[in-house]
Amino acid sequence: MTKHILRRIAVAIPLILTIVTLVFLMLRLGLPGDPAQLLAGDRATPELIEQIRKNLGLDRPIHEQYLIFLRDAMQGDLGDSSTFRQPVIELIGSAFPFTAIITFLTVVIGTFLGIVVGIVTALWRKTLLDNVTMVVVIFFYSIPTFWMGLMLILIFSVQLRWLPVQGSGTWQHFVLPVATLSLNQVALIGRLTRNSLIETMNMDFIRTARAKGLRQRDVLIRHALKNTLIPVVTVTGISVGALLGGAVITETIFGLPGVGRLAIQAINNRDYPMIQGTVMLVAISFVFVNLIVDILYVYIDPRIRHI
Amino acid sequence: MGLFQRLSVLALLLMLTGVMMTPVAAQSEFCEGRSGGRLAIADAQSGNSSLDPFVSSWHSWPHYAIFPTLFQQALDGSYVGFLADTWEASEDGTELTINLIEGENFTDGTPINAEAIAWNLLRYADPETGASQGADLVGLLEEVEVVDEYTFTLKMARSFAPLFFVLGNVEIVSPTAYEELGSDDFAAAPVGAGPFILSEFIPGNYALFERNPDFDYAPEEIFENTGPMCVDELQILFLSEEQTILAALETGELTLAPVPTQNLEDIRAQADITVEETLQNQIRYIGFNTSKAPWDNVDLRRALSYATDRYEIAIFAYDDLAEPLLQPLPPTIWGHNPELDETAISFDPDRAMEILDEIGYVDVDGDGIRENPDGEPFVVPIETGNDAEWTAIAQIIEGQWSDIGIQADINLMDFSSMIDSTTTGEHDLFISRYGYSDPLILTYFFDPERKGGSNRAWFSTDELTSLLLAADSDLNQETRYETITETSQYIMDAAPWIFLVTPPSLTGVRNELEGWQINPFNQSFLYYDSYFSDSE
Repeated sequence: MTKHILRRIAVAIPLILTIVTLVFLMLRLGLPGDPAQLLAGDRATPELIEQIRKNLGLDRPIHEQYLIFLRDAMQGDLGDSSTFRQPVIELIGSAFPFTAIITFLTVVIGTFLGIVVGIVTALWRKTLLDNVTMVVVIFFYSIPTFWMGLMLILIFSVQLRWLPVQGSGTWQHFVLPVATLSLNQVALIGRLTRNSLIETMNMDFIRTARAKGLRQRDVLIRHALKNTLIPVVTVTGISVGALLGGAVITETIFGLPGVGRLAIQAINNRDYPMIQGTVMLVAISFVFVNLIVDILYVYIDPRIRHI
Repeated sequence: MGLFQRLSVLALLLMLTGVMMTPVAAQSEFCEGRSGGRLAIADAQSGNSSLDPFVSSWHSWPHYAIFPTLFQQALDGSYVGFLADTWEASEDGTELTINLIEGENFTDGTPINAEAIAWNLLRYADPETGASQGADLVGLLEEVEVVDEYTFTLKMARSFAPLFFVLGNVEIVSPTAYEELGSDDFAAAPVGAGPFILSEFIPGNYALFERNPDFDYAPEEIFENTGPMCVDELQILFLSEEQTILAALETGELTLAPVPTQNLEDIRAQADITVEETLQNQIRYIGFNTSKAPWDNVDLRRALSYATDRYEIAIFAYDDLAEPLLQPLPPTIWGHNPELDETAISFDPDRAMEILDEIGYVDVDGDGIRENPDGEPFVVPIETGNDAEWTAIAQIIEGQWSDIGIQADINLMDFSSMIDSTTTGEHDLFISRYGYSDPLILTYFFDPERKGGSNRAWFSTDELTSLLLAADSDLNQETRYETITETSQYIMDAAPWIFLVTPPSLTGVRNELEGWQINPFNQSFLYYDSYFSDSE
């Protein structure tokens, strides 16, 4: 097991390095828009633009910039944001907790409710309850996040005045963003659990378990559900990775200072160090989450231990 | 009286003095019974800039809250002293001697004196600083002579008419704090002497300020309350989603916010919100890259200008709230001359077709699309931003030009990419904007030295350069106005731009906030006299 984890980490390092290198090159060679030009504004003389470029270190050859970036990154220094003139690591560090809280709550609440919905609809499949629940689930899965967010604001903030529209100071500020993202997660996991459970319940080993005289509850919990969880864990892992990368739209609508907003702001400002930092964070998050998913597989499906 | 008794009396006197002094410093007479509350403002742009004024490319709410300037623009457009108390210019306009108000300090306790101001101005004027805001001082300000503690003389390479405008914009920081902290740390903990002190800054979310209890020198010519502010706190929220902003304004989480034109009626219907409607000190325009054929042909540029209906753009892209524009300066910038509109190029499709026929852009194959003089289809590439405003303008123009047989090829991209593209000289047409408060802006856009920079039309002539220089050097307001009129007329005739509209400025303010004003000359929201009615 330890060997397996170490092997995964060893693979992850060159992967992250490749991603970061590609982003570094794409920013400088592929992305139109010059940070110095943006900072110079409407007064720009070519000399002023050149001076700002020099101040930002963008006048050096690309390979030199890359080597400096790598050297500093190894020491935990991702450079200073060209927009805010503050260390990228500090800016990401202050944004990440907001994103982490939203991700954690969304995944826990959304996945738990999704599994419950999936089990209920699978057990009562082809009934009115199943049909109505699936229509509701598909509805929440289909509607865009921004629309859902704005509707929740209109109902719970503007009409009922129960919750704040925007901000991040209290627990109330997290209710609507988490609800917006969780509804989507419930729908996703609910559908997946239902289909997977129905498939599992038709398998031979379930028939055998029933033939042995096990109660329906034991068949479901001890045998069927464990097999159902493999795709659920996979999809949940992907959701965690995507949410940690920043639920950009949700963060924008609810004015949350998370990583997604920071990344979008950085792209608009052509803030190279900040873009590189947020991409690194997303890449590391994905690798880390995938590692956890791999470990969970081993516990859910003992066959994997022997692969 | 024994030593102990004398010390006791002295201590009592000191305590009494402290007690008497404290309320004066913490609250102005104006604010008695009006003090308290948090002024919450939505502005996405404020969150996109460093709080170090030597680094940021534009100054917005947080800068105005933290840093003072030497001058401020009054409601009649003139400049009044802010940190400056009195001033005198030399006859040839190359020297300006300024006496500062005395006894004021930065919020780190260091004095605001001539040395501090000289340090700031020379830093702005240093080309190595690369300061966008102080760029006008580069090559202009040669020396700052400190005469005494509160007096200094600016010595300039030439007379410069917009000097008060520039000195009204360059913000003054505490040199001691800046040198101790360095640029990066200063941006996180800026030290000024303005009406507020930064207490919390969360990038991407908000900046929170508390009242500066020692601020007491707001210009009496503009404000009844010379300081400190009546509101306890100022919060700038970096919100960008329009519907979130409107919802927060409606629930009272925001005190004031910009209102999109399409939501004007909804907001007007709210009993507890007032909407202030003005025009911005901005314009929208189409620029030609005049260094590239066929856009070096003035007749072709004029033909496209005749083919553009600004009224339609004002109606459909701005819900009839923008003002059609026929000259380079909008009515909100001093120097705009309404008389120029009488002879300006305005919508005349027949005249446009006549010119196009004359210069050889005719429909040869009868497909309704004109060919260029070489017989190839005449397609006009236009670059612009990809948000709703730019898209709407581009679509309207595409329709108008197709009516006279011109095919536009619209290329929507993110705005910074478009701006970058204009510095290459390889571009064709672009739809863009500018915002400013002084006719000096024309120099930025038509200065031959700024090709590859802000001269995005790559347009300059010796005659225009002379006119711009004359306008920027003339200290006489009347003759400067005439020169600016002449400059505008020259630009209108040469048509490197098609002027489109002056966009509207709609600000929604909750009714519980009283005493605010909007400066008609720079559209700044003036909150120095503001207080919450429910704090009375």
